[in-house]
Amino acid sequence: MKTSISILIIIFGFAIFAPLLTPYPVSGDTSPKMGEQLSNRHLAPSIKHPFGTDELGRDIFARTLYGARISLGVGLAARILAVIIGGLIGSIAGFYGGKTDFILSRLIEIFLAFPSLILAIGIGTALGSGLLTVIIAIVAVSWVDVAVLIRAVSAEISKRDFVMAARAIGEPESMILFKHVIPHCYAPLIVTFSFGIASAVMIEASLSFLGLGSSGNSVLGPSWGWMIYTAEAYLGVAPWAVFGPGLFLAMTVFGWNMLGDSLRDKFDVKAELR
Amino acid sequence: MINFFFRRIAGLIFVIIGVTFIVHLFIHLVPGDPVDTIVGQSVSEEDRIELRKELGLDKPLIIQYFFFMKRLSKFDLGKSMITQKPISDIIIERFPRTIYLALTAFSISLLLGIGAGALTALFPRTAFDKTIMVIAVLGVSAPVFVTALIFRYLLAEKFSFLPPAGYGPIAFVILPAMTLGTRSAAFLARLTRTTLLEILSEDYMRTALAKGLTPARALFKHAFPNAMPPLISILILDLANYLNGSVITETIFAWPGLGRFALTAISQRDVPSIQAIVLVMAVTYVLAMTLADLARAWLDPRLR
Repeated sequence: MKTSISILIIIFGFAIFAPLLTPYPVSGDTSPKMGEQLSNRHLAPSIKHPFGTDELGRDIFARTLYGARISLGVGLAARILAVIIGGLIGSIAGFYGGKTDFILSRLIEIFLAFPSLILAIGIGTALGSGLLTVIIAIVAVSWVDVAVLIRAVSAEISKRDFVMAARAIGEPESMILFKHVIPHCYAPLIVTFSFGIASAVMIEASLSFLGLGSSGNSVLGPSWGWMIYTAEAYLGVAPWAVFGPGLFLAMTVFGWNMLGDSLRDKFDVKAELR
Repeated sequence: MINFFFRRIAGLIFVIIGVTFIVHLFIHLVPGDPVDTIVGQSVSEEDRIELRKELGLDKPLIIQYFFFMKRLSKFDLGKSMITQKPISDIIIERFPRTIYLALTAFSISLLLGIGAGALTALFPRTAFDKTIMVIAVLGVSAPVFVTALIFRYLLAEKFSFLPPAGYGPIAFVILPAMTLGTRSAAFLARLTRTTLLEILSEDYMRTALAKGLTPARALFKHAFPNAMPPLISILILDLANYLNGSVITETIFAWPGLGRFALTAISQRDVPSIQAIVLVMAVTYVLAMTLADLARAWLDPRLR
């Protein structure tokens, strides 16, 4: 738990305090000093440029720090939405059972049938590239694992005595769902939230790598996936350009997965989480 | 078993209907006129009207879906916007290459993953075990495109052991297959290890060892048969990772399969082609999942 939290705190720190941690602007110098900056292209890592410089002479360390903003921003936003949607659908199916459960379960099965990145690519291509597209695509492919988990958990909770007691004193069904069943799903929700951010971060990077994410310079900064995509073209001359964003990406995914693991052990959530 | 079989097949048919319905909706996700999305804007007004009629675009969604399915039953997936070739031809040409790549990757991951998992389970908590497990954790966390570029740089550009990219004799498949197999090998190694360790602590294993079997013999005669059913279904489920990974791996190694076709389709916003790719991959995946369920039920009667 300690390792994963420290990794994540460091990455969040980078994202928030990026301007204080590096003297270089994220998109490099504009017009007047551009020429000077270009003469710094493809510099190998050094004390001045810990991760080297890219094809436009920009400091890769600076860009990697800013890159944490998109990764974490998109990851968190997409996962929150996916947990809300998947949690609602799953708990409604698990709590009401019967026909409602039958219909929602079929819907869940259909979405489970898609390999996640493939469906995200399909949706992303149809909607056109951009940050919002990435978030929509991630939510569309990731609500379903929350739904599967929460359906099972809430079906079990619905059989407990306190639900029957609530029913006995005449509370309406929807009230029982929101007041008693959903709040009791908190442990699996927290666990799946953590695991899901890891995969959301991975899908975001993959989509950006394929050119479906935000372009290189959005308001938030570059995306790691996009940085690796541009570095690919210069792999022979400047292999280090992959290292910085690649390392941070792997660390972020690792951190959320580890946190998920320890939370699962802590809350003793027994469920197959993807 | 027969009952289970038919239930599973009925479920499969239903899911395929759902999958095709969702894929058919893609065309409506694109802002603007679906005709533009399908054939581009340089089409005469008469052609547009005709196409609209042919696709049933003036009718309600459900009817459009029937039109879509009717074309699909004739394996007519439309024409690619870029090459104007029928998409079904492109898929028939490219899909076998993706399968070839995936199967090679699968063999690599099977050999490495199960091998490493079994070895670490035999020597738990040794330095060997710990090193392998750290590598496995790294392998699971590293994104495909980062491992791909590291492999390509080290094995093809820095030291020219292998061709960096392209399609050709066996040497060309090694790099992309290694990349694609790494993640699942790492995953498999961890899984095999925990599964085997669990089984090794069972009573029947103690009995096997007590009656004088060597640990290796006990492993092969008693542990593997019990570990198999869950492993098989997980192996097939892992197929989704190969399909997901193929888009990126094939792009980086210029492997002319379905995944690379996806990239060209993305960059041209060729939605009909993307539809076809998503459809083929999703159907492959559901078929494999159904197969996994059936195989598992066949091996383990408790699940029927």
